[in-house]
Amino acid sequence: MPHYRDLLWLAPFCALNLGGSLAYGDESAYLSEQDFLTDIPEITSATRLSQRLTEAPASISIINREMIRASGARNIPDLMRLVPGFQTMHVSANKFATTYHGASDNFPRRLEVMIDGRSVYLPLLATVDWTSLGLNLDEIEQIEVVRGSNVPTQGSNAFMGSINIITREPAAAQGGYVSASGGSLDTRDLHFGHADNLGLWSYRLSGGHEQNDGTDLYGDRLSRNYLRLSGSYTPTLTDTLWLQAGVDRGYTYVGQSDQIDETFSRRDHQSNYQYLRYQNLYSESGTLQLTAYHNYLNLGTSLTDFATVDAFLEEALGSPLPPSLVNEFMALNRPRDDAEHGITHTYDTELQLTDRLGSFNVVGGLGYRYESAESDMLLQSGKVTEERWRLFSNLNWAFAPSWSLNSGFMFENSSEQTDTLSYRHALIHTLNTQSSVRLGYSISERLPSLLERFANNNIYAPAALSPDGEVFVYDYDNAASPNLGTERIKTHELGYYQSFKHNQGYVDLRVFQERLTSIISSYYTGIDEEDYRKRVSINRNGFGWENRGAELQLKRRIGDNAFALLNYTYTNTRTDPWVHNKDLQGAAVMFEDSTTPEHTASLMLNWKPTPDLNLSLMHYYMDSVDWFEGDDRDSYQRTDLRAAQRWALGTGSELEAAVTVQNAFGPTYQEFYEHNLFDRRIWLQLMLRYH
Amino acid sequence: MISGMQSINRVTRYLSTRLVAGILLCLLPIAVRADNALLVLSDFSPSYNQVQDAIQTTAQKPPRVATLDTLTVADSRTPIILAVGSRACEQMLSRYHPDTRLLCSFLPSTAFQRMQEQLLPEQRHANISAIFIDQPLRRQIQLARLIKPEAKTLGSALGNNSRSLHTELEAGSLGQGFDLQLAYLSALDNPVELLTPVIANSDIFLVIPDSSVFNRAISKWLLYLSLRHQVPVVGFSASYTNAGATASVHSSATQIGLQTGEWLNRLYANEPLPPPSYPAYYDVSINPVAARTLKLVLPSPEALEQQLLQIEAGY
Repeated sequence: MPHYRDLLWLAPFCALNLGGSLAYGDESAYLSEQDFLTDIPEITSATRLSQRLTEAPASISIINREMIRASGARNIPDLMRLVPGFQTMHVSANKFATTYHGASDNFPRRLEVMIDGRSVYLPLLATVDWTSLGLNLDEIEQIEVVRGSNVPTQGSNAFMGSINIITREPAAAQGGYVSASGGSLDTRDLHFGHADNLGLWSYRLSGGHEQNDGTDLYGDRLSRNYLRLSGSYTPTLTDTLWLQAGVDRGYTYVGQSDQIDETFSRRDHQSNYQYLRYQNLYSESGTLQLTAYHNYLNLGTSLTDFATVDAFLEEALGSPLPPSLVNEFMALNRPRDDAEHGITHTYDTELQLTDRLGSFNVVGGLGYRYESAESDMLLQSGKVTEERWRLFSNLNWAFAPSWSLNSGFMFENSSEQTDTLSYRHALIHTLNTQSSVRLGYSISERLPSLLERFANNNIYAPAALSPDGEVFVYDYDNAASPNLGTERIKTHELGYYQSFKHNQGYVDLRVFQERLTSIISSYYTGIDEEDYRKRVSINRNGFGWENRGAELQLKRRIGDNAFALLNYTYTNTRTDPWVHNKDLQGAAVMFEDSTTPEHTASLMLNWKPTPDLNLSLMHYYMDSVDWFEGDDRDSYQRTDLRAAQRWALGTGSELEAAVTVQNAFGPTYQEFYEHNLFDRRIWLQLMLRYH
Repeated sequence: MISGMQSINRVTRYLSTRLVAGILLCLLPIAVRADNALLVLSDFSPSYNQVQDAIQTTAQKPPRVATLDTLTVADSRTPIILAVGSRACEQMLSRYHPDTRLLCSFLPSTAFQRMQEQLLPEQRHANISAIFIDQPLRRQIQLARLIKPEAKTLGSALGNNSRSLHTELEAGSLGQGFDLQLAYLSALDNPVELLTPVIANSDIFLVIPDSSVFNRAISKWLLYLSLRHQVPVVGFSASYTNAGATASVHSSATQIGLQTGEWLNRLYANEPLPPPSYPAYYDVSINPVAARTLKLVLPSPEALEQQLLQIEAGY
């Protein structure tokens, strides 16, 4: 990484005088009625424009703090069980994944996940690593989930949707918390958070330690420490600067529990990030926003020991090799216990302008992203990089009373000679201030990730094994696919949203048809698919499927002290014929079951019988499914219970004790892999809050 | 299996039918419009259109409609002129003819007063009046009292455009038994620095509308700091309530249009033009999430409206 790049992402900030206001309207002018109609910002994830959910061109689910706390969830993917259309998998005891409309392996790659707008998608693994984010659930204000392709707003990674995790604003609180929890899997966690002022800055400092021993069968344990600082500064009425930085270090054990004797491997991680966001209100209705961030992740798995390599080679070759040749083989190939190894950086900067022009609300901007990845396991040929430029805009036009048209596009240009153009149009009819009907159409394109385009590794044989005395490729395992094209999704949708009077809840209905084409899939090509030495795995845009179905989310408050949340999704997925080794005789891949669960449902009931007692029940159902990895899984039902009691400890502090029972009524079920069993789990949490 | 496309086609047909029906409905009233009344819109925007729709529905004879770019010289001689929005009011004040009666509607009280002072400084005209978009300060302060009856200190912040309300705000607060804590903010001030001591020392905070940029700039800090210090905020729009204010009192475009239509009917009946007035119709919105966070037990919005109406009836 050239040193100048470390500073390049800060360049836009140098052009600004943060202490000065660009403009503050005409102070001599009198107020206009528009001043009374000012939109006070609410949701922005769908279009980057501040919108009420009745005005949004997409279905959006909000998971707020009340729900996060009531759910007893211990990680963010588990919260996605409360969003229609989402499926969450525990790949192992400490490795989690979430996908929208199924069709995934253990590395879901078609969802954008952001923390306050900062993408945490990993180009190295083409997914999100949920255990190195440097964030705990108590730091989250709410999670905005856009269901359905959101590429026109957030870019390629949001191919199937986007998740924006909004953290708590430093200025919104003073005081903090310390929480300790323990329970199943020999869990021992400690988290803290503290918010205060430092001069003219408001800040939140949070951190913690998490550890558990994983399952008895695999010992797939975890240990991590993290620290996070979030600050905001408002030098003038119209200027605001936010700063976030954090580190996360530790290890998890990774592996596939499809075999009962599978050995899990330790994977160390070190991650850090730095994020700056500057906002200026430059006119009565205009906002300028500049963002810049850097994400770093270093994943490390151990080199495989001599005995294991020796045994492997003996099995592969049919006879033992002399130790010197085994050592030479190890030096040549540097075999590791697991492929999740490497270093990745993401640098991103973006300029965005939002304004109102007559009946039009408009947002537009330009962004630049630089991604790099290196891994002697996944990218054997060396470090790979990619530069991406993006140009985007979204326009909301209230063209008639009760009618509006929302159109957005995203153009992305990759240094790998691939461009994408994605757009979405939605016609929204507001039936009244509480409800609306939406008709939407979008076409989105997704750029291949660094991993999909460049993954390559071969097994080299020592020179002594070659007749001509030179090192040679013993087995081509993966070959890079530099000419990969874009994936494409075409969506038609009909949406209905109604909020009940006095914020008593809402109904959100989405009927959809999604056609996915040119989907990247791996397949073996070569002379003989059965002979592993004569085949190589490559990626191509050869697969596709279609989803049709409906999603329902219903939230209703029951009296002042209770609420119910119901989610249901029906999805009918029809996969295209998927043919391996198409260049030769071809062999169709058969799926035993739907690649998306046909029915997914969840229910949350929360009741506060007294101001200090908080009771909740969650029930989850997921239909049978044939994952791309992990094989067929039966349907399962799971019920979680949580009870929390609070005691005031004098003025300004309180203690809360909470017990959470997951899968309370059994039976034990399989999570993603055959031998990854989810039994009844119990956790106790003690939290001290002070103001 | 759900057939998404069939549903979409059905809905498209349904929407098309409604659109055509809507266009026809707009065309029909032309035949019975009054020639002696003119409705001038500042612009075609959803809120002005809602005012217009409410006027047309309420008026015994719907007035003829014009926008600023279609106004003719003869239009300013129309016996009854309704100007919707500040720009329309400004235009019609500048073209004011003494033989006409002008009713400005859906504009801030301060804007009307300043325009009238600038454009017709000589005298007060009995034939010029207005219906404002903003609520009387007394109504907002009264709502603050209803939200938190035990509150002693009322906090507020004024910007350059609302600074003139200082005296009225002080008097209103005193009338409700509040001590007033005020912050004055200008463009170069740090809002967190200035708002923090005011909010920290207040039992309830009242938001006074200022320019859009001021409103937008302080809203998020105001709401964050109020959470931090557990102080309820009384806003001035439904949008403020949705964003986190505990309660707001506000009038919709339709409510102001309804009142304007009723005044127009009085003019048709040759009754005198009432003096400039604040909205007669208004809503109270509350944010139950904010109320729960602040541990406030609030009556329903309807009950709060009724209480305000009863109190105002007793003035």
